Amino acid sequence: MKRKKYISLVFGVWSFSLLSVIGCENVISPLTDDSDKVFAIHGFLDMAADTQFVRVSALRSAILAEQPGLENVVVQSVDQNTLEVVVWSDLVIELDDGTEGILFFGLFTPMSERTYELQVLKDGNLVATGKTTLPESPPYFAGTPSGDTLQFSQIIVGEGITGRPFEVGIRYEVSRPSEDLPETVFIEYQQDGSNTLGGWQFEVFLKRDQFSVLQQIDWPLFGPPLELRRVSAFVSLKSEEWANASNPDNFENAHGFFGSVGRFELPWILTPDDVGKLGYVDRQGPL
Amino acid sequence: MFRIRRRHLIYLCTLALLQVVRSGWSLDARAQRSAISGLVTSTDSGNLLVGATVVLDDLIGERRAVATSSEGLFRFNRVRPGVHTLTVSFIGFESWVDTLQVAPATNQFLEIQLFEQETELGELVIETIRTEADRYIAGLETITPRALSRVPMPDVNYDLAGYLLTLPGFVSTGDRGGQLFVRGGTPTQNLVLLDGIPIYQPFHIVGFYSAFPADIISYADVYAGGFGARYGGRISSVIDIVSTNGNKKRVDGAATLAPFLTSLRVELPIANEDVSLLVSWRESVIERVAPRLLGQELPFHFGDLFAKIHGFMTPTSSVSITVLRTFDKGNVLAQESVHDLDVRSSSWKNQAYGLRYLFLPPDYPAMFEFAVHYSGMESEFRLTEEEFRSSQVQSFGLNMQFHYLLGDTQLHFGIFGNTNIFDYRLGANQRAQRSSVTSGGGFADTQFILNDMLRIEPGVRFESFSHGTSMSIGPRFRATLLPWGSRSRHQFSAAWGRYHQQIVGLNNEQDVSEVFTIWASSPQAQAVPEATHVIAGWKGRLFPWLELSAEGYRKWMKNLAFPVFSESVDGTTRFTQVEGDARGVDLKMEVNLRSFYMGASYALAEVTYTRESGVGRTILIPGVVTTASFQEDAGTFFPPHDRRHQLNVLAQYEWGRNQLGFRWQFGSGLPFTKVNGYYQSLDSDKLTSSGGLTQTGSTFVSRSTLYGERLPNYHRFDVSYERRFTFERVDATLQLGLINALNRENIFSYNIFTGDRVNQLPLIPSVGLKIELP
Repeated sequence: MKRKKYISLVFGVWSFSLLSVIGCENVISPLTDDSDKVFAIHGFLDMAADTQFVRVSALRSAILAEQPGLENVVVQSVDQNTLEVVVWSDLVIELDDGTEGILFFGLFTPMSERTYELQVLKDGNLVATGKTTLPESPPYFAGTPSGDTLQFSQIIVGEGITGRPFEVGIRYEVSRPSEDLPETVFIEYQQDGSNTLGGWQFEVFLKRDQFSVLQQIDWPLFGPPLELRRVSAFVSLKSEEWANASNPDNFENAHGFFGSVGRFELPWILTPDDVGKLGYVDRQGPL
Repeated sequence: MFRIRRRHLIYLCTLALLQVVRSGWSLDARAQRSAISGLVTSTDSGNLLVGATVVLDDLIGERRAVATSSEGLFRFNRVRPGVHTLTVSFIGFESWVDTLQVAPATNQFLEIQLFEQETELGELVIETIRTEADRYIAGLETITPRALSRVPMPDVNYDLAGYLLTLPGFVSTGDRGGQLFVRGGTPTQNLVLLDGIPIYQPFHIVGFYSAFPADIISYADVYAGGFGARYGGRISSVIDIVSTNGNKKRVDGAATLAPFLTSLRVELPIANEDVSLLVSWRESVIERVAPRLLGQELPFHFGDLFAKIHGFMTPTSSVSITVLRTFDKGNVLAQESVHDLDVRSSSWKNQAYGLRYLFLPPDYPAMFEFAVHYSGMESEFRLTEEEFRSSQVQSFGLNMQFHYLLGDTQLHFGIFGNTNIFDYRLGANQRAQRSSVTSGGGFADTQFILNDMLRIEPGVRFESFSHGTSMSIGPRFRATLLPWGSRSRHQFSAAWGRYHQQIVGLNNEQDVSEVFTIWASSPQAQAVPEATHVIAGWKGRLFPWLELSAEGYRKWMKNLAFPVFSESVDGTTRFTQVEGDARGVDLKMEVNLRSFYMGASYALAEVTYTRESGVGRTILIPGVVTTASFQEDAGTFFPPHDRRHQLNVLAQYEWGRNQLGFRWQFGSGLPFTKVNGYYQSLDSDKLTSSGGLTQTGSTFVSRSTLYGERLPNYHRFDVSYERRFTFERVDATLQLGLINALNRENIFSYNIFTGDRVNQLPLIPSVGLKIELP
């Protein structure tokens, strides 16, 4: 009986001691303490532009909360090869839904194969980054033209291009007879080619393009032949980030999308015989 | 690897053969030895007494003991001819003692009836010899109705669910929704059997209640892991419930009234005391009582109907038919707006029917069991008037089992076949989907008592499927060591096994309020979930009234489906495959005195899920989830049911006709994922076009480290008081209780998008009355 009472007493004291020891912390905070150090970044660097734009926004604390401002926020880019820093300026724009957003723009032209880090600084501290490396100029070769009359065409193969270029066009540089000043005609190709062993290829319809050239410079079909100075393909390649846009891994403390676009000219020389077949006079120079 | 396994198999088979030979199976010995077997029932009700202790003493002082099986049967083989004393004892019954004259090479079958004791007895502690029922088996907890009655409930009805949550390693996400996680496994990885019939959703929507009231339970074997080869199809745990039989001697019954439930139980003898009918019905009343009692809506409506017919065809053969039907409906987020209550709801219904035939040949040390069953579950989750999801699973099963009791060697083997049909629909505009899978297989479970100290139980289970995956083979092994023989106060046990689960349940584990589960066959393109368990433990009885145990475990789980957070706020649930690793230590202490009982347990556990590196993979089930693959970051995280510390204290004090019970539960906080904030995500494909940077975009959520934070700790203190009254024609029990007596605001669900918090049940006072036929 004595032992029983003793055990009961021990149990009672132990239980209530535990009850009193257990912390009463019972509040939940769904937001992280560092939520003001995370940003949304959307935009890309473009080799064809001398001004780059990105949209930067701070995170909202609730779905329907107002968009917070970007006080004391600085955006800058760093060329990882040269460590050159460009500080970007901000610009308030109107978004499609009528609300306001903030764009940052940087005055520089990114270069092929270089890596740029976009940095977001708050109160002077680096809080978020995004990185992109511009695509390299692809090695390429031009196949032998083939086909009759309107089907006279040539295959261009870009070696090592894994993704399809998102823009493709052919540029012809021609001059009127006995005129030195060349005129440039750019023909945008709707077809973006196809993947092939060792890269990507697309077909240049040389003869059909000639009719477009004549039309664009307003030259008669049966007039004296134009002089062909240069022919080249223009391709726009997206950086690797585009292939993984739904799950980017190039951000630190940031969400959204940050990539780059490389723009490349791929010239080649047609043989005098092929130039003649197209109805041009061959005045191509070296590449 | 294969060579090693085969070598081990050969070794075990050789060991088995040697043991059979050593056990006295020489022709000469067989000619001399006899067998004694029997059936133990209650004189009062005719019920089988399961787990009764049967002790056989001979004149030279050798003592052997066994416990009666789930069918009330016992058997002693290799009994020396001569005079023996047989003693049968059971808690609450007067012991039965008889002297037997055993002739050479004979088989005696005894029908033993025990009389109920008029005076109440405390727990009978057998110190001198250890029986099967008292044997410690790693991972196994056998639960008796007596144990269930120790848990305070908001009701005069006891229930299995309440007790399970006092066991270390058993985690619930809350007191609603009916989800139970066992040692790192998820609810759909638990196999719950009632008389051998699988029950798909065994818990009611209010977490205090299972589909099995205490009154119908004879006992329940709960394997937290390391279960033997006779069980399969799930990779985490087994809860094997054996129901009691109705009274074969007289009409019996009880009725209860309490704030949560009303119930009625009727037991009828039929056909000359050989057949009984037991019917149990329960239905909730809390949805009607709560507004006045608690001042808040608790819109949970649930109930169950159980019926069992049991009959002896001969003294050594029996047939039983079991029926269980349950229903649940309610809104587990019951604290939200009234409008939401009217619309949002989870509902499910179980239907289970089974037939079981058991035959014990009197002249042969064997038992034969044949069973067929149908089990089905329909469930629906309705978010709005238009938006709903529904799922149905049906299974038909057949199995035959043979049990050979060859002295110190036992062999259990069986064959089984199952057909499962799955139907699901994921919305009003979605097409209904149906699939099915049929499987067949077999198992062999053996038990070799090598000597007084060591017992080993190797086994193997194999199962082949009509489609989907190749045959699965699951080896199992268990060993029990009594360092000082049968009189040892300390026992050690270990278990190991490999498990497969072809039928998987997919649910959104990230949202505790979404209890909807789709059952489906594991898709052909994916590996089936599998697990390897290792358990080792010790149990010691330091004093007759004090028992301690410690058990360490580890579960490696592969090919688990786990939902992925969508970045889009209104995104749909997708699944990837993860690997799980659950490990922990469970400590338990029991103080068992005549009028005082206390059980305390502590569980230290850690569960981690690891997603494969690089590419996330979608579970390819047509209609269930998108078939598009997606990229998901690799990583290791704590799943939402990873409870690091868990403490349970249970105490009961009895004096006279009074009983006072306490329970205190503590659980450290469950993991959740914090949010950094929300942002407008722009379509990257439109960025290069004009106006790409001025597009409005879609609202996305930025999450912090996956499950990197913990919810507040959980704790609850319950107290109950009972007093029994005896009248001329009936017995009555009055119960007073306080659930969550400290009115702790334990969190159940927190919506990180809206900030809405739903707490678990508040302080609930209860008054219950039970009227029983004496």
